[in-house]
Amino acid sequence: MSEPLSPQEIRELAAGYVLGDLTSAETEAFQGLLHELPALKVEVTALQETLAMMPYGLDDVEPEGGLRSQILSAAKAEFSSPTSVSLPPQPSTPTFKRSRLPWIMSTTAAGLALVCGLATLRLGNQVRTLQAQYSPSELTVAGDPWSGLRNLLQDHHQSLQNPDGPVDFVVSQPDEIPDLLQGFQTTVAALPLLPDHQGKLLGGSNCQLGDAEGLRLTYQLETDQTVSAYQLVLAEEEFPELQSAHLSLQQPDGTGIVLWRDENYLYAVVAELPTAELQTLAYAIEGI
Amino acid sequence: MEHETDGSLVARLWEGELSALGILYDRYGSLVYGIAIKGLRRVAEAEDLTQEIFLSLMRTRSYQPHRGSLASYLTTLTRSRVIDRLRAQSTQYKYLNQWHQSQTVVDADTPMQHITQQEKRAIVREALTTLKAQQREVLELSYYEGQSQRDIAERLGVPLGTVKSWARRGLLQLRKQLDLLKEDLS
Repeated sequence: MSEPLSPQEIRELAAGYVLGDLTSAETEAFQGLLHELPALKVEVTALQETLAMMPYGLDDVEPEGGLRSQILSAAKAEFSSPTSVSLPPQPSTPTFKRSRLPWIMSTTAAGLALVCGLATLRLGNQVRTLQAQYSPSELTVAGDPWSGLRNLLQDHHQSLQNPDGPVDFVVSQPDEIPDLLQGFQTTVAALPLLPDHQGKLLGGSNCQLGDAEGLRLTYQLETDQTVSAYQLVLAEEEFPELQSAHLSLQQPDGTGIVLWRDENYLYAVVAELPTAELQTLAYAIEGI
Repeated sequence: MEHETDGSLVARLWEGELSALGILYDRYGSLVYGIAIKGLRRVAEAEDLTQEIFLSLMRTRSYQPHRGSLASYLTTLTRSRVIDRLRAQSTQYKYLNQWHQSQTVVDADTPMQHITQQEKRAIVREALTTLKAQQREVLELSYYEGQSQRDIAERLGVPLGTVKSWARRGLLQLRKQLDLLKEDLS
């Protein structure tokens, strides 16, 4: 990367950036180029737009005629019972298989309500999709309740109440973050970064939540809401048993959490926001 | 009501007018279902997800017209839910290839929003035919199924660098062709 890159090489890096396939060295180089060449952002946007056009290239596939009326009926049913817990439609045939029941349903759950949007659980001999409420104590690690939830909520609230502000250090660019963290090693690519247009990055902080070490990035949304985004390292045996790609929790005071993980880290976003908005932020951080 | 904007229809839907949902389904049901069946491959699952997407549009009220077109919102949402389901089904939790930017707003103010869905379909299909078969395959596996390029390399039995090269050049080629076709259209 020491020699200047040709325009074609820069274009390919931009494509790789949009496709998310840059190595960490290429990412560093490309972020440098983005600073040097403002026009490159236009190229990135154009490539993102191109990628977003992909579905229009699919063959015309018309769903069965009955689907339209099925959707309208489901919508009508929801309108007519607005106070009921919203349950996604049952699949017309059991299409998912889960190997075990990660949490036991509780009808008396108080406090946090865990909404498992897409989780599909095997209940008895039936497979069903459900969105229901769980007690946080039923989010488990090796059968024991996962204590990290309480730690996450406490950390988020304490950061908001900190008279010195919610962050340990202020940054203007994400690539400054790894060097400002004390002890915790990470790469820029692994950070829980929210696209600029969705939230202003205020800064970051080291975190120690129980045994979990990591960081918290703090964002301010256009609506002035403050969002904490966590990246935590846990020993494999400490990971809570997430059977859905995203798990969302909503506390009665309005604080919500969305959790997800990859091979290396547990991620979470915490804010005083409805579940749907938090999920949108989580998807944006994941870049999907 | 034939020319009623998507934004107006969504507003009516949120006020409880189910007829608006019917019109929105007529406009975008095929597009949503197409993405769902491409990734999930099973009719029952694709129908289930299509229903979930439209009910989600009604329930969550997270669509913001000023941030992008409804088509873009629905395609992005559908794609991410497809990948979410594929990941949830996976026996081994696999790291999803990162997509660095949300695509929910990329067409907020571009010429592409002023052409019809049929015109978009026509030019994207034509542009895709100019890609090499491998370029298209890699882009599709990555886009619709969220497969990492490492997984794609294993699946196709080629080096990772080759997959990256196919994907990057495929995307650049697609962009170039779309630009040319858009010029022809205007």
